[in-house]
Amino acid sequence: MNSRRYIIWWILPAAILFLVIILIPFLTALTFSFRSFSFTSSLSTGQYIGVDNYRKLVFDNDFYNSFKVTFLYMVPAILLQGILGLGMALVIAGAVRRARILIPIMLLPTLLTPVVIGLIGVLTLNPDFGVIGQLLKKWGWVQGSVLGNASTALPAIIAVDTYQWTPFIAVILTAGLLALPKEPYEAAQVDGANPIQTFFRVTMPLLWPYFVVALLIRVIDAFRIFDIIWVMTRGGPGTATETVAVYAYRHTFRFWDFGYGSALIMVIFVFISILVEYLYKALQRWQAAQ
Amino acid sequence: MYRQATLLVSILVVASLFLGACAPATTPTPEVSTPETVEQAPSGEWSLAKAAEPWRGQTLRLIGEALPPLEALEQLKGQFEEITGTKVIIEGLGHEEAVEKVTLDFAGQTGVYDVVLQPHRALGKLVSNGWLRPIDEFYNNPALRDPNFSYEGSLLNTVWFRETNTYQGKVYGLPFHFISMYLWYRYDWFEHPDEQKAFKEKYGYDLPSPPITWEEYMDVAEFFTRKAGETLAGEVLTYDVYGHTWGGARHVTAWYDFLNVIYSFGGRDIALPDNRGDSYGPVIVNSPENLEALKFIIESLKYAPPGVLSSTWDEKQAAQQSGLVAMAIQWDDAAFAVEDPEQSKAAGKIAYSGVPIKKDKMTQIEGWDYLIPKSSKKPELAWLFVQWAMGKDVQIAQMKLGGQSALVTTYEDPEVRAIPYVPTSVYLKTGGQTVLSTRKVGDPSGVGVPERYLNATNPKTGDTSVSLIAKPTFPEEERVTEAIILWVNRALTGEVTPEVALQELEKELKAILPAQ
Repeated sequence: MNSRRYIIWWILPAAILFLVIILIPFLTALTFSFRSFSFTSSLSTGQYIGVDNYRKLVFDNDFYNSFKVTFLYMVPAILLQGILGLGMALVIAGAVRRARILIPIMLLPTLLTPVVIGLIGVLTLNPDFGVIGQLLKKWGWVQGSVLGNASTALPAIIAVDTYQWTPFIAVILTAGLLALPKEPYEAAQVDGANPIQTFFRVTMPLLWPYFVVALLIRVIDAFRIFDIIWVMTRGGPGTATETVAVYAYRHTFRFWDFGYGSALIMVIFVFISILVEYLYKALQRWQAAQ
Repeated sequence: MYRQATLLVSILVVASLFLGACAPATTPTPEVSTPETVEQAPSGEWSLAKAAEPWRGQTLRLIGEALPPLEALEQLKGQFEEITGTKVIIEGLGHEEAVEKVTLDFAGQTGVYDVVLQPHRALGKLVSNGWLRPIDEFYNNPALRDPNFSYEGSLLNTVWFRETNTYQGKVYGLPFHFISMYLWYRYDWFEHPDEQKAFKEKYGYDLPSPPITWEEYMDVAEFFTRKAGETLAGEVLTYDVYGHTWGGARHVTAWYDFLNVIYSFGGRDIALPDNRGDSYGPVIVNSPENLEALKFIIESLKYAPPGVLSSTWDEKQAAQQSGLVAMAIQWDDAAFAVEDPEQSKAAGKIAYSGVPIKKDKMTQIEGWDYLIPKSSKKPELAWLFVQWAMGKDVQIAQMKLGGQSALVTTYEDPEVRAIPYVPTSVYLKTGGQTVLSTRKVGDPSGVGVPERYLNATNPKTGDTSVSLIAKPTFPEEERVTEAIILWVNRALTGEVTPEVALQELEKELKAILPAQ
């Protein structure tokens, strides 16, 4: 009886915190999504409009475009970061004793704020002043501005994002590699498996849960990516780099349309929840099949 | 009540879905020489110390754009603190961050700020949501008004003031500065004999210093675009040089730059009745004038640096400072940094003219205001600070650090008049009525209104006056601006044709403005 009472007291601060900073604001935003409420329209004064914001969203081509851009960014970025992160993890885990020293150094880009990373990207890619921008111009790979060209702006953002987040994935996978049991490797050796077979038949299946964790975190992050894009391109040129988070930000904090902005955020929230759940189950099934 | 009570909470959830905010912009500022005497009312009973007595020991918080004039205020605020026994905290942020933070503060009615500096085009949003106090309630209060203080008679231009500080007939602010854009050009290149000779041979007329028509502007831009290894003004270039620069990124710079050309070409985005920004008429953005203007801009980008499509005013300024371009149409509050020899290769080599002329000799009206929010718990103290900041000593000190004072008295100071960009700035802001000094071709400095521009006829009026063009300040302004930025950017980057951009933009603006 006594221990139960104590448990309530221990949980209470977290529960209050959850209520105040997550649940109440979430429910408030939900109610806003059913209202017409904007600081930049004399006709939007907070009146109830039912599902009009959601109806508008269904016919909003720019919203669909922002989803497309999010996936065009997310899929290559995560693939690239997964492959590079695995490579880095294998190198570091191979040098076990030195790994602990390397990890904090490796994490430096991840520790920097995305705004700083974005500014580094802007400065280095500028064809007039930036080191990389000038090299790309000199080699004839990009004519003009990398960030001002619809076909190169998104790859540039993916590259900058990869610079920041690959070490994060590498750290997760390094932890996984260092924690793998030795027995399966000994068994593989006895069975005469070569290093490639050992990697694909032993290491990868055992490492898979760590991949799943990294993947899910990065998928959620991909839907939230804002700072890097805002600093580097503001969603431009045109809407070539306008992801869902940038699109929602523009409506909420540029147009000050809290009704439509809240509706956008609700849809993004539901979509991420479904996507993460689906991915998690699909990956579990895949692992079981392996 | 519903809005105020629930908005703060909703902002939290919306904000929590995004990562961080942009870092504040900072610019190193030299020391301000503190004036020896503090301007106070010598007459009657009134004194700043006495008027501020009820707030002694309290703190006043101000937010604005982190540019040298604000930092000058930071360095001078000690005088106010000393007289009033209060503490003043000045917060400087980047342009857009300052606007965003103020809107969030007002929406949440948190009352953090007592004085806010905002661009004038935000007035409609701020007033229509009931966030601002009219200035009259302080100005007409004898207990708060310095009997020697009167802004009405000392403004550079009353039309400029009306647009930047009043909304629907009420005064809501006092000018932190009046700002305008003008054509900056490298007079050392334009007036070099070799260049003059080469230009005449190629184009058949004298190298215009400065260009006063857009046709001249295009020729000059082409002429000065050179590769590394070529010669410019007698020197072999070690890097590529370009005729001009532009704001091509999806950023508010693209909007300002677009407006300069369409206004000059005789076009408008939205008809503003009586040249007032607080109401609007029909959307007229899809016009032959605007199409010609947009095509002109796209054509001119051939002579701009490769990074122009991702350039904002920051990259434009960097291009000027590094000697990369011959011309730029740029804000006057950025001139200080380009005239600073520690930061700029071009310092002392620039002269200042107006935006080139097609169907109008014009300048667009712009300004930042001192505003007092209703949410401030110390509005009277806020007023006393603003009134003090409008004093001559503060205004002059700010001018010497890149400010753009709205008061005539500031320009009586000989040191202020000697700042290279000041004569052109005053000429434009007074609609071509005030000429502090003129500049002839061949003069050894950039100081003065170029004679060529001064004598240029305004096709719209038939005389040499400068038209002052108002911009939207009505509440929907931010949506209008964002829409224009997007479609202009799409046209500049070649995503759509100029024709499609203007057609789509017109549809979008009509959807934004309810009366359309």
